[in-house]
Amino acid sequence: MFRSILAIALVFTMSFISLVHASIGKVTLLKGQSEVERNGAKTPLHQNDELFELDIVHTAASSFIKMTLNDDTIIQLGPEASFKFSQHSTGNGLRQEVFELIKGKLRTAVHKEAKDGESIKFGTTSIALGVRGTEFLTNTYMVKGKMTTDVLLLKGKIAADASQLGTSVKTFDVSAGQYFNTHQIAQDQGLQSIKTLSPEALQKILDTKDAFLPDLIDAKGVLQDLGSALSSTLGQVGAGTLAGVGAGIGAGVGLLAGTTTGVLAAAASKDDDRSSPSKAQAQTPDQVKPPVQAPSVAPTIVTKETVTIVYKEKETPDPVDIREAKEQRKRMRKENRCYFWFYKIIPGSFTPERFRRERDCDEYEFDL
Amino acid sequence: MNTNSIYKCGWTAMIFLLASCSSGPFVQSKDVCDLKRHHQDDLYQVTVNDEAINKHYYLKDDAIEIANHLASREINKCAPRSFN
Repeated sequence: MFRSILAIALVFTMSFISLVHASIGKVTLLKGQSEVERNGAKTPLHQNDELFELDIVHTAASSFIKMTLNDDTIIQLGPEASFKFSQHSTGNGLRQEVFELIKGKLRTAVHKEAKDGESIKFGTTSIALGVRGTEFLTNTYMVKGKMTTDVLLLKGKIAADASQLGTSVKTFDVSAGQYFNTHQIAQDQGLQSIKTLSPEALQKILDTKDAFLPDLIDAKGVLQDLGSALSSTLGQVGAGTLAGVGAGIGAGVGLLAGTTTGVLAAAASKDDDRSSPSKAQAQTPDQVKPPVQAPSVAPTIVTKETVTIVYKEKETPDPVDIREAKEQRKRMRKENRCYFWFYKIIPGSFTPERFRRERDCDEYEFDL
Repeated sequence: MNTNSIYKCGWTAMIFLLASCSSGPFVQSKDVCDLKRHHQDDLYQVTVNDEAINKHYYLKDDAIEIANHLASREINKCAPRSFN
């Protein structure tokens, strides 16, 4: 009697556990190495492994993973990426899904369009994207100590929540072919930096199923031209790319209006006047080349645009710790007491937190 | 001149000789100290040739003090300059 009750209780418990922790999808393709963080422990991930709510998937360098969820949503991660399935529930048949791209490159296709009452959100440190039935690429990475996010929408529509950026515009819609960077939006304090990719380039990315978005901001914080970046990663996508970028909605600061075309390795004629400064980029007198007729194949055109981003002086009040330190500085100096700050990303948070510590005024670290 | 005087002169000469050997001509560093503002907060890092000296941030006046200390003759990590 007791044994039968125990067996029934065990079966009930196991079925309950499996119900609560139902698989939400599985790994359909894995190249390289990946691991899943589940209940605080990391274990290697393999092809056909199941995925569960709250899993955090990490990919190693030179690795790629493709995951297919039960609702046919496809999630692809590039190398050194981290992605969390924060919420995945289907109560009353309605999906409530929240995904977080912690870092790295993501390509996702939501095949089943979200119905009324359903919510599918992809978030990064900078922006939250509500998707309907879309395919898009996004990157999130660190530039100059701050997380930034790039988004390119391939199909469908996205409602972006930019309230974390501190701009006057809190939410905005993104249409297919449009792309933006959150750092640039925050700098511009508006949406004028949202651009549109040319149809040719867009189709190229759609056709290249495992392509990811190149980083739009380089290490120096300069916004790159996506058309040129795609040309180098996917091959020449045609002059339409540049035209398409130029016709994008709201030309960015100097990026489109001032686009210059530099023809590298100009083949100059012997008789050309090389003393002219405008031809300084042509060959020096030592590099004499025979006269060159117009080439039968169109030369490679590389655009280079240097965008200087001017950081505006902070107009908002200082945070409490900084304001207090400024107010007390003179008094504390007499006691040889000063402060220093450092920034650190604490677990569970995606933005660097600021920490203040006290020091002797004549003490500082010199790490060079 | 007795031997005591000779000894005293000898020691004095030796001290002067050693002192002159230890102090060579001062060569001012040509590295450039600068302040780098945090992109969000009103805090500054001290840089030498655009490389931060540490991962810490300071109030502007404190950062200027540190930069001036680095540019001092005793430390000589960079050339003296004025900061705005």
